[in-house]
Amino acid sequence: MTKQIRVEFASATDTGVVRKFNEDSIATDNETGLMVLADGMGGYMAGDVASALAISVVKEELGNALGNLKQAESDSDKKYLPQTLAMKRAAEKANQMILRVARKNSQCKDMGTTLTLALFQEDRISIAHVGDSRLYRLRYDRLEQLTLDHSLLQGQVAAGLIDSGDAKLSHNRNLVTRALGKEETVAVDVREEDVLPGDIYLLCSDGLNDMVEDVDIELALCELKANLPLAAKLLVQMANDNGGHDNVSVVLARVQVQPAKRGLLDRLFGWFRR
Amino acid sequence: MAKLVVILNGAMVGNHFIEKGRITIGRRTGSDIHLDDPGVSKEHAVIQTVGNDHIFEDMGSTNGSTINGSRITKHILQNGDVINLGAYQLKYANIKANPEMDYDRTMMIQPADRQVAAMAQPADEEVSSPATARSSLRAGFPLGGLRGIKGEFAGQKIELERPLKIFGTIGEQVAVIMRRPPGYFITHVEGNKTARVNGQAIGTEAQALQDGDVIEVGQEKLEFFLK
Repeated sequence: MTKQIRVEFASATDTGVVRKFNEDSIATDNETGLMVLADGMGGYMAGDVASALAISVVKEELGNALGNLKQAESDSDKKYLPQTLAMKRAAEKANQMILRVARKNSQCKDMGTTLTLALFQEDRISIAHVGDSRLYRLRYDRLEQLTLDHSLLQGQVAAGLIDSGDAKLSHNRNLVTRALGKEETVAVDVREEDVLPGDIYLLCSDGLNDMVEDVDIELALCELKANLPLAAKLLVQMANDNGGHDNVSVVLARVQVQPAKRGLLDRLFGWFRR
Repeated sequence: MAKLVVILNGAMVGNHFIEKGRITIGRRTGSDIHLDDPGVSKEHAVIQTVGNDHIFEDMGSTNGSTINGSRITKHILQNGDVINLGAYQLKYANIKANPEMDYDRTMMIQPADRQVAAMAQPADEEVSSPATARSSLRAGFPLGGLRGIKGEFAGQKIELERPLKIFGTIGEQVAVIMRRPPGYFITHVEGNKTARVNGQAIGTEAQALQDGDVIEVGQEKLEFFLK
Protein backbone atom coordinates (compact mmCIF):
# COMPACT_ATOMS: atom_id res chain seq x y z
CA MET A 1 0.00 0.00 0.00
CA THR A 2 1.44 3.39 -0.93
CA LYS A 3 1.61 5.84 1.85
CA GLN A 4 0.88 9.47 1.27
CA ILE A 5 2.19 12.03 3.69
CA ARG A 6 -0.23 14.60 4.89
CA VAL A 7 1.17 17.60 6.68
CA GLU A 8 -0.66 20.12 8.81
CA PHE A 9 0.99 23.54 9.17
CA ALA A 10 0.60 26.33 11.73
CA SER A 11 2.64 29.48 12.15
CA ALA A 12 3.06 32.70 14.11
CA THR A 13 5.38 35.68 13.78
CA ASP A 14 5.85 38.75 15.96
CA THR A 15 8.01 41.87 16.12
CA GLY A 16 8.98 41.08 19.71
CA VAL A 17 9.15 43.47 22.65
CA VAL A 18 12.25 45.49 21.75
CA ARG A 19 12.32 45.94 17.97
CA LYS A 20 10.25 48.35 15.90
CA PHE A 21 10.03 46.26 12.73
CA ASN A 22 9.58 42.62 11.93
CA GLU A 23 12.30 41.56 9.48
CA ASP A 24 11.36 37.86 9.57
CA SER A 25 9.37 36.33 6.71
CA ILE A 26 7.65 32.95 6.70
CA ALA A 27 5.57 30.87 4.29
CA THR A 28 3.96 27.45 4.06
CA ASP A 29 2.40 25.66 1.09
CA ASN A 30 0.07 22.74 1.59
CA GLU A 31 0.14 21.85 -2.10
CA THR A 32 3.89 21.18 -2.27
CA GLY A 33 4.49 20.46 1.43
CA LEU A 34 6.92 23.36 1.78
CA MET A 35 7.80 25.42 4.87
CA VAL A 36 10.21 28.39 4.65
CA LEU A 37 11.58 30.95 7.07
CA ALA A 38 13.97 33.87 6.49
CA ASP A 39 15.41 36.24 9.11
CA GLY A 40 16.45 39.47 7.41
CA MET A 41 19.30 41.74 8.47
CA GLY A 42 21.19 44.88 7.49
CA GLY A 43 20.54 47.65 5.02
CA TYR A 44 18.61 50.79 5.85
CA MET A 45 15.60 48.99 7.33
CA ALA A 46 15.84 46.61 4.38
CA GLY A 47 16.19 43.34 6.26
CA ASP A 48 12.53 42.67 5.62
CA VAL A 49 13.06 43.28 1.88
CA ALA A 50 15.78 40.61 1.81
CA SER A 51 13.78 38.06 3.77
CA ALA A 52 10.57 38.61 1.77
CA LEU A 53 12.54 38.40 -1.47
CA ALA A 54 14.17 35.14 -0.41
CA ILE A 55 10.80 33.59 0.37
CA SER A 56 9.15 34.65 -2.89
CA VAL A 57 12.08 33.54 -5.07
CA VAL A 58 12.27 30.17 -3.32
CA LYS A 59 8.53 29.57 -3.66
CA GLU A 60 8.51 30.45 -7.33
CA GLU A 61 11.72 28.62 -8.29
CA LEU A 62 10.72 25.54 -6.38
CA GLY A 63 7.18 25.61 -7.73
CA ASN A 64 8.56 25.56 -11.27
CA ALA A 65 11.27 23.00 -10.55
CA LEU A 66 9.03 20.50 -8.77
CA GLY A 67 6.72 20.40 -11.80
CA ASN A 68 9.57 19.38 -14.12
CA LEU A 69 11.67 17.02 -12.06
CA LYS A 70 13.45 14.17 -13.75
CA GLN A 71 15.33 11.52 -11.88
CA ALA A 72 18.23 12.14 -14.27
CA GLU A 73 18.66 15.50 -12.62
CA SER A 74 19.93 13.76 -9.55
CA ASP A 75 23.58 14.35 -8.73
CA SER A 76 26.16 11.93 -10.07
CA ASP A 77 26.54 9.86 -6.92
CA LYS A 78 22.76 9.87 -6.31
CA LYS A 79 23.30 11.14 -2.81
CA TYR A 80 20.34 13.49 -2.81
CA LEU A 81 16.80 13.48 -4.18
CA PRO A 82 16.22 15.78 -7.17
CA GLN A 83 13.84 17.79 -4.95
CA THR A 84 16.65 18.46 -2.50
CA LEU A 85 18.94 19.67 -5.27
CA ALA A 86 16.15 21.89 -6.59
CA MET A 87 15.89 23.48 -3.12
CA LYS A 88 19.61 24.17 -3.13
CA ARG A 89 19.36 25.83 -6.54
CA ALA A 90 16.37 27.89 -5.39
CA ALA A 91 18.36 29.19 -2.42
CA GLU A 92 21.26 30.07 -4.72
CA LYS A 93 18.87 31.91 -7.04
CA ALA A 94 17.48 33.87 -4.08
CA ASN A 95 21.03 34.86 -3.16
CA GLN A 96 21.64 36.30 -6.64
CA MET A 97 18.32 38.12 -6.65
CA ILE A 98 19.01 39.78 -3.29
CA LEU A 99 22.45 40.89 -4.50
CA ARG A 100 20.94 42.31 -7.68
CA VAL A 101 18.27 44.31 -5.83
CA ALA A 102 20.82 45.53 -3.28
CA ARG A 103 23.07 46.86 -6.05
CA LYS A 104 20.24 48.79 -7.69
CA ASN A 105 18.84 50.38 -4.53
CA SER A 106 21.12 52.26 -2.17
CA GLN A 107 18.62 51.79 0.67
CA CYS A 108 19.00 48.04 0.29
CA LYS A 109 22.80 48.10 0.39
CA ASP A 110 24.23 45.41 2.67
CA MET A 111 20.90 43.74 3.23
CA GLY A 112 20.97 40.00 3.79
CA THR A 113 18.95 37.17 5.23
CA THR A 114 19.11 33.70 6.67
CA LEU A 115 17.05 31.04 4.90
CA THR A 116 15.84 27.66 6.11
CA LEU A 117 13.38 25.56 4.16
CA ALA A 118 11.99 22.06 4.43
CA LEU A 119 10.00 20.05 1.91
CA PHE A 120 7.89 17.00 2.77
CA GLN A 121 7.57 14.27 0.15
CA GLU A 122 6.30 10.73 0.65
CA ASP A 123 8.31 9.46 3.62
CA ARG A 124 11.20 11.95 3.40
CA ILE A 125 11.91 15.49 4.41
CA SER A 126 14.47 17.58 2.50
CA ILE A 127 16.14 20.39 4.40
CA ALA A 128 18.23 23.28 3.06
CA HIS A 129 19.66 26.13 5.12
CA VAL A 130 21.96 29.13 5.27
CA GLY A 131 22.49 31.00 8.56
CA ASP A 132 21.15 30.47 12.06
CA SER A 133 17.42 29.87 11.60
CA ARG A 134 16.83 26.40 12.99
CA LEU A 135 14.78 23.33 12.16
CA TYR A 136 13.91 21.08 15.08
CA ARG A 137 12.07 17.76 15.15
CA LEU A 138 9.95 16.41 17.98
CA ARG A 139 9.84 12.61 17.77
CA TYR A 140 8.57 10.37 20.58
CA ASP A 141 8.36 13.55 22.70
CA ARG A 142 12.07 14.28 22.30
CA LEU A 143 13.29 17.50 20.69
CA GLU A 144 16.23 17.29 18.31
CA GLN A 145 17.91 20.04 16.31
CA LEU A 146 18.30 19.06 12.64
CA THR A 147 20.25 22.08 11.38
CA LEU A 148 23.58 23.37 12.65
CA ASP A 149 23.80 27.17 12.84
CA HIS A 150 26.21 28.87 10.50
CA SER A 151 27.30 31.13 13.33
CA LEU A 152 30.53 32.10 14.98
CA LEU A 153 29.19 30.72 18.24
CA GLN A 154 28.50 27.27 16.74
CA GLY A 155 32.03 27.35 15.35
CA GLN A 156 33.49 28.19 18.75
CA VAL A 157 31.56 25.37 20.41
CA ALA A 158 32.53 22.85 17.73
CA ALA A 159 36.20 23.83 18.04
CA GLY A 160 36.04 23.34 21.81
CA LEU A 161 36.91 27.00 22.37
CA ILE A 162 33.90 27.32 24.59
CA ASP A 163 31.60 24.92 26.34
CA SER A 164 28.08 24.39 24.99
CA GLY A 165 26.69 25.31 28.41
CA ASP A 166 28.75 28.52 28.55
CA ALA A 167 27.48 29.64 25.16
CA LYS A 168 24.66 31.60 26.75
CA LEU A 169 27.34 33.93 28.16
CA SER A 170 28.71 34.66 24.70
CA HIS A 171 28.25 37.95 22.90
CA ASN A 172 28.57 36.26 19.52
CA ARG A 173 25.04 34.92 19.40
CA ASN A 174 24.11 37.31 16.62
CA LEU A 175 27.09 36.73 14.35
CA VAL A 176 26.27 34.51 11.39
CA THR A 177 29.05 33.19 9.19
CA ARG A 178 26.80 32.60 6.19
CA ALA A 179 23.85 34.54 4.82
CA LEU A 180 22.09 35.22 1.53
CA GLY A 181 22.97 38.53 -0.14
CA LYS A 182 26.55 38.77 1.08
CA GLU A 183 28.63 37.16 -1.67
CA GLU A 184 28.24 36.02 -5.29
CA THR A 185 28.12 32.40 -4.24
CA VAL A 186 26.66 30.93 -1.11
CA ALA A 187 27.20 27.50 0.41
CA VAL A 188 23.79 25.93 1.09
CA ASP A 189 23.71 22.98 3.50
CA VAL A 190 21.27 20.24 2.53
CA ARG A 191 20.11 17.18 4.41
CA GLU A 192 17.46 14.48 4.04
CA GLU A 193 15.73 12.60 6.82
CA ASP A 194 13.06 9.94 7.17
CA VAL A 195 9.65 11.12 8.26
CA LEU A 196 7.48 9.20 10.72
CA PRO A 197 3.80 9.70 11.48
CA GLY A 198 3.42 11.81 14.60
CA ASP A 199 6.62 13.79 13.96
CA ILE A 200 6.36 17.49 14.62
CA TYR A 201 8.76 19.88 12.89
CA LEU A 202 9.58 23.36 14.17
CA LEU A 203 11.17 26.01 11.99
CA CYS A 204 12.14 29.15 13.93
CA SER A 205 14.15 32.34 13.87
CA ASP A 206 16.81 32.89 16.55
CA GLY A 207 14.33 35.14 18.37
CA LEU A 208 12.79 31.90 19.66
CA ASN A 209 15.81 29.74 20.51
CA ASP A 210 17.78 32.67 21.99
CA MET A 211 14.94 33.51 24.37
CA VAL A 212 13.39 30.10 25.17
CA GLU A 213 15.40 27.11 26.41
CA ASP A 214 15.23 23.93 24.31
CA VAL A 215 13.68 22.08 27.26
CA ASP A 216 10.83 24.60 27.35
CA ILE A 217 10.34 24.42 23.57
CA GLU A 218 10.17 20.64 23.97
CA LEU A 219 7.65 20.97 26.79
CA ALA A 220 5.40 23.29 24.77
CA LEU A 221 5.42 20.96 21.74
CA CYS A 222 4.79 17.82 23.83
CA GLU A 223 1.91 19.37 25.76
CA LEU A 224 0.26 21.23 22.90
CA LYS A 225 0.70 18.91 19.93
CA ALA A 226 -3.08 18.43 19.81
CA ASN A 227 -3.48 22.11 18.95
CA LEU A 228 -0.75 23.25 16.57
CA PRO A 229 -1.95 26.87 16.09
CA LEU A 230 -2.04 27.32 19.88
CA ALA A 231 1.46 25.82 20.19
CA ALA A 232 2.81 28.33 17.64
CA LYS A 233 1.11 31.23 19.39
CA LEU A 234 2.33 30.21 22.86
CA LEU A 235 5.92 29.67 21.71
CA VAL A 236 5.98 33.27 20.43
CA GLN A 237 4.39 34.40 23.69
CA MET A 238 7.06 32.54 25.71
CA ALA A 239 9.84 34.33 23.77
CA ASN A 240 8.20 37.69 24.46
CA ASP A 241 7.57 36.85 28.14
CA ASN A 242 11.31 36.13 28.48
CA GLY A 243 12.21 39.55 27.10
CA GLY A 244 11.42 39.38 23.37
CA HIS A 245 14.77 40.90 22.36
CA ASP A 246 14.32 39.98 18.70
CA ASN A 247 11.68 39.29 16.07
CA VAL A 248 10.32 35.82 16.69
CA SER A 249 8.84 33.48 14.09
CA VAL A 250 7.63 29.92 14.39
CA VAL A 251 6.41 27.49 11.71
CA LEU A 252 5.10 24.11 12.87
CA ALA A 253 4.32 21.01 10.81
CA ARG A 254 2.69 17.81 12.01
CA VAL A 255 2.97 14.65 9.94
CA GLN A 256 -0.04 12.43 9.51
CA VAL A 257 -0.19 9.33 7.40
CA GLN A 258 -3.25 8.33 5.49
CA PRO A 259 -3.59 5.49 3.04
CA ALA A 260 -3.66 6.96 -0.45
CA LYS A 261 -5.57 4.12 -2.07
CA ARG A 262 -7.22 1.28 -0.25
CA GLY A 263 -6.49 -2.05 -1.87
CA LEU A 264 -9.12 -4.77 -2.29
CA LEU A 265 -7.90 -6.77 0.71
CA ASP A 266 -7.79 -3.64 2.75
CA ARG A 267 -11.33 -2.75 1.89
CA LEU A 268 -12.43 -6.29 2.63
CA PHE A 269 -10.82 -6.34 6.04
CA GLY A 270 -12.13 -2.89 6.66
CA TRP A 271 -15.58 -4.18 5.87
CA PHE A 272 -15.23 -7.19 8.18
CA ARG A 273 -14.04 -5.02 11.02
CA ARG A 274 -17.17 -2.92 10.94
CA MET B 1 36.73 49.05 23.58
CA ALA B 2 37.22 46.48 26.28
CA LYS B 3 39.73 47.07 29.04
CA LEU B 4 41.14 45.47 32.15
CA VAL B 5 41.67 47.60 35.23
CA VAL B 6 44.57 46.25 37.29
CA ILE B 7 43.98 46.54 41.04
CA LEU B 8 46.44 45.80 43.87
CA ASN B 9 45.44 46.04 47.53
CA GLY B 10 42.27 47.88 46.55
CA ALA B 11 44.08 50.56 44.56
CA MET B 12 44.08 50.91 40.81
CA VAL B 13 47.60 50.41 39.51
CA GLY B 14 47.02 50.22 35.75
CA ASN B 15 44.77 50.01 32.74
CA HIS B 16 45.10 47.59 29.88
CA PHE B 17 43.07 47.84 26.67
CA ILE B 18 42.37 44.56 24.92
CA GLU B 19 43.63 45.26 21.42
CA LYS B 20 45.28 41.98 20.50
CA GLY B 21 43.79 38.62 19.68
CA ARG B 22 45.70 36.98 22.54
CA ILE B 23 46.89 38.56 25.76
CA THR B 24 49.22 36.80 28.16
CA ILE B 25 49.06 37.37 31.90
CA GLY B 26 51.80 36.26 34.29
CA ARG B 27 54.79 36.91 36.50
CA ARG B 28 57.21 36.50 33.57
CA THR B 29 58.58 39.86 32.40
CA GLY B 30 57.36 40.35 28.86
CA SER B 31 53.85 39.15 29.67
CA ASP B 32 51.30 41.51 28.15
CA ILE B 33 49.98 42.06 31.65
CA HIS B 34 52.91 41.63 33.98
CA LEU B 35 51.87 40.92 37.59
CA ASP B 36 54.80 40.73 39.97
CA ASP B 37 53.49 38.65 42.84
CA PRO B 38 54.64 35.25 44.17
CA GLY B 39 51.00 34.00 44.02
CA VAL B 40 50.96 34.53 40.25
CA SER B 41 52.53 31.88 37.99
CA LYS B 42 55.00 32.83 35.28
CA GLU B 43 52.44 31.99 32.58
CA HIS B 44 49.28 32.26 34.61
CA ALA B 45 46.50 32.90 32.10
CA VAL B 46 45.57 34.14 28.63
CA ILE B 47 42.66 36.12 27.24
CA GLN B 48 41.62 35.29 23.68
CA THR B 49 39.43 37.47 21.49
CA VAL B 50 36.84 35.66 19.35
CA GLY B 51 34.28 37.88 17.65
CA ASN B 52 32.75 40.01 20.40
CA ASP B 53 33.96 37.69 23.15
CA HIS B 54 37.01 37.81 25.36
CA ILE B 55 37.65 34.35 26.74
CA PHE B 56 39.75 34.04 29.90
CA GLU B 57 41.67 30.79 30.36
CA ASP B 58 43.87 29.72 33.26
CA MET B 59 47.01 28.04 31.86
CA GLY B 60 47.31 25.55 34.70
CA SER B 61 48.68 28.06 37.20
CA THR B 62 49.87 26.86 40.60
CA ASN B 63 47.38 28.86 42.63
CA GLY B 64 44.57 29.06 40.11
CA SER B 65 42.24 31.91 39.16
CA THR B 66 38.86 32.95 40.46
CA ILE B 67 36.28 35.13 38.76
CA ASN B 68 33.67 36.83 40.96
CA GLY B 69 34.70 34.42 43.71
CA SER B 70 34.36 31.17 41.74
CA ARG B 71 37.33 29.05 40.74
CA ILE B 72 37.42 28.78 36.93
CA THR B 73 39.64 27.46 34.16
CA LYS B 74 37.80 29.02 31.24
CA HIS B 75 35.23 31.78 31.14
CA ILE B 76 33.64 34.18 28.66
CA LEU B 77 34.17 37.56 30.29
CA GLN B 78 31.11 39.65 31.15
CA ASN B 79 31.11 43.38 31.80
CA GLY B 80 32.06 43.97 35.45
CA ASP B 81 33.72 40.57 36.03
CA VAL B 82 36.48 40.64 38.65
CA ILE B 83 39.36 38.20 38.14
CA ASN B 84 41.59 37.31 41.12
CA LEU B 85 45.17 36.15 40.50
CA GLY B 86 47.45 36.10 43.54
CA ALA B 87 47.28 39.49 45.24
CA TYR B 88 46.04 41.16 42.06
CA GLN B 89 42.55 41.83 40.79
CA LEU B 90 41.65 42.49 37.16
CA LYS B 91 38.35 44.17 36.51
CA TYR B 92 36.90 43.61 33.04
CA ALA B 93 35.02 46.56 31.58
CA ASN B 94 33.26 46.30 28.24
CA ILE B 95 29.96 48.05 27.69
CA LYS B 96 29.48 45.85 24.63
CA ALA B 97 29.61 42.74 26.81
CA ASN B 98 26.54 43.76 28.75
CA PRO B 99 23.77 41.20 28.31
CA GLU B 100 21.15 43.95 28.27
CA MET B 101 22.67 45.66 25.22
CA ASP B 102 21.01 45.19 21.85
CA TYR B 103 23.26 42.38 20.84
CA ASP B 104 20.61 40.25 19.27
CA ARG B 105 20.53 42.05 15.94
CA THR B 106 21.72 39.45 13.50
CA MET B 107 24.82 40.50 11.63
CA MET B 108 27.22 38.93 9.16
CA ILE B 109 30.67 38.75 10.76
CA GLN B 110 33.67 40.52 9.28
CA PRO B 111 36.08 38.61 6.98
CA ALA B 112 38.90 38.64 9.57
CA ASP B 113 36.72 36.72 11.98
CA ARG B 114 35.68 34.28 9.30
CA GLN B 115 38.99 32.45 9.56
CA VAL B 116 38.25 31.45 13.11
CA ALA B 117 34.82 30.37 12.04
CA ALA B 118 36.10 28.42 9.04
CA MET B 119 38.70 26.68 11.15
CA ALA B 120 35.96 25.77 13.52
CA GLN B 121 33.34 24.58 11.05
CA PRO B 122 32.14 21.24 12.31
CA ALA B 123 32.40 18.19 10.09
CA ASP B 124 30.50 16.00 12.48
CA GLU B 125 26.72 16.35 12.56
CA GLU B 126 26.52 15.03 16.10
CA VAL B 127 28.46 17.93 17.57
CA SER B 128 26.60 19.67 20.33
CA SER B 129 24.88 22.91 19.61
CA PRO B 130 25.22 26.03 21.72
CA ALA B 131 22.52 26.58 24.27
CA THR B 132 21.86 30.27 24.14
CA ALA B 133 18.57 30.90 25.90
CA ARG B 134 18.51 33.07 28.98
CA SER B 135 16.36 31.23 31.48
CA SER B 136 17.48 33.41 34.36
CA LEU B 137 14.99 35.98 33.15
CA ARG B 138 12.22 33.84 34.57
CA ALA B 139 13.23 35.04 38.02
CA GLY B 140 10.58 37.78 37.86
CA PHE B 141 7.69 35.40 37.18
CA PRO B 142 5.10 34.86 39.91
CA LEU B 143 4.78 31.43 41.51
CA GLY B 144 1.53 29.57 42.09
CA GLY B 145 0.00 26.13 41.85
CA LEU B 146 -3.00 23.90 42.17
CA ARG B 147 -4.63 21.85 44.91
CA GLY B 148 -6.47 18.76 43.69
CA ILE B 149 -10.07 18.58 44.89
CA LYS B 150 -11.23 15.68 42.72
CA GLY B 151 -9.61 13.35 40.17
CA GLU B 152 -6.00 12.27 39.57
CA PHE B 153 -4.54 14.99 41.80
CA ALA B 154 -7.08 14.79 44.65
CA GLY B 155 -5.45 15.78 47.93
CA GLN B 156 -2.21 16.79 46.17
CA LYS B 157 -0.51 20.13 45.81
CA ILE B 158 1.17 20.89 42.47
CA GLU B 159 3.52 23.83 42.04
CA LEU B 160 3.46 25.27 38.54
CA GLU B 161 7.12 26.18 37.96
CA ARG B 162 7.43 25.39 34.26
CA PRO B 163 6.12 27.82 31.60
CA LEU B 164 3.07 25.64 30.93
CA LYS B 165 1.27 22.45 31.92
CA ILE B 166 -1.81 20.72 30.52
CA PHE B 167 -4.69 19.22 32.52
CA GLY B 168 -7.71 17.12 31.57
CA THR B 169 -8.38 14.05 29.44
CA ILE B 170 -6.41 13.74 26.19
CA GLY B 171 -8.70 13.64 23.17
CA GLU B 172 -11.72 14.77 25.18
CA GLN B 173 -11.12 17.93 27.13
CA VAL B 174 -7.72 19.53 27.72
CA ALA B 175 -6.74 22.98 28.98
CA VAL B 176 -3.28 24.49 29.40
CA ILE B 177 -2.16 26.68 32.30
CA MET B 178 0.59 29.15 31.41
CA ARG B 179 2.98 30.84 33.81
CA ARG B 180 3.63 34.39 32.61
CA PRO B 181 5.09 37.61 34.08
CA PRO B 182 1.64 39.15 34.79
CA GLY B 183 0.38 35.89 36.35
CA TYR B 184 -1.17 32.55 35.37
CA PHE B 185 -3.54 32.05 32.45
CA ILE B 186 -5.73 29.17 31.33
CA THR B 187 -6.53 28.40 27.67
CA HIS B 188 -8.55 25.74 25.88
CA VAL B 189 -6.43 23.15 24.01
CA GLU B 190 -8.78 20.44 22.71
CA GLY B 191 -12.25 19.00 23.03
CA ASN B 192 -15.71 20.13 21.96
CA LYS B 193 -16.41 21.67 25.33
CA THR B 194 -13.99 23.96 27.10
CA ALA B 195 -12.91 23.67 30.73
CA ARG B 196 -14.74 25.70 33.39
CA VAL B 197 -13.49 28.21 35.93
CA ASN B 198 -15.82 28.84 38.87
CA GLY B 199 -18.56 27.10 36.89
CA GLN B 200 -18.13 29.29 33.78
CA ALA B 201 -16.87 27.87 30.46
CA ILE B 202 -13.54 29.55 29.64
CA GLY B 203 -14.21 29.98 25.91
CA THR B 204 -11.37 30.08 23.40
CA GLU B 205 -9.43 33.11 24.66
CA ALA B 206 -6.81 32.97 27.41
CA GLN B 207 -8.26 33.79 30.82
CA ALA B 208 -6.30 35.13 33.82
CA LEU B 209 -6.48 32.96 36.96
CA GLN B 210 -7.18 34.52 40.37
CA ASP B 211 -6.19 33.09 43.75
CA GLY B 212 -8.90 30.62 44.82
CA ASP B 213 -10.35 29.98 41.34
CA VAL B 214 -11.80 26.49 40.92
CA ILE B 215 -10.99 24.76 37.62
CA GLU B 216 -12.94 21.84 36.19
CA VAL B 217 -11.35 20.05 33.25
CA GLY B 218 -11.81 16.43 32.14
CA GLN B 219 -12.15 14.38 35.34
CA GLU B 220 -10.22 16.96 37.36
CA LYS B 221 -11.39 19.54 39.83
CA LEU B 222 -8.58 21.81 40.99
CA GLU B 223 -8.18 24.96 43.07
CA PHE B 224 -5.67 27.57 41.90
CA PHE B 225 -3.47 29.41 44.42
CA LEU B 226 -0.88 32.14 44.18
CA LYS B 227 2.08 32.18 46.54
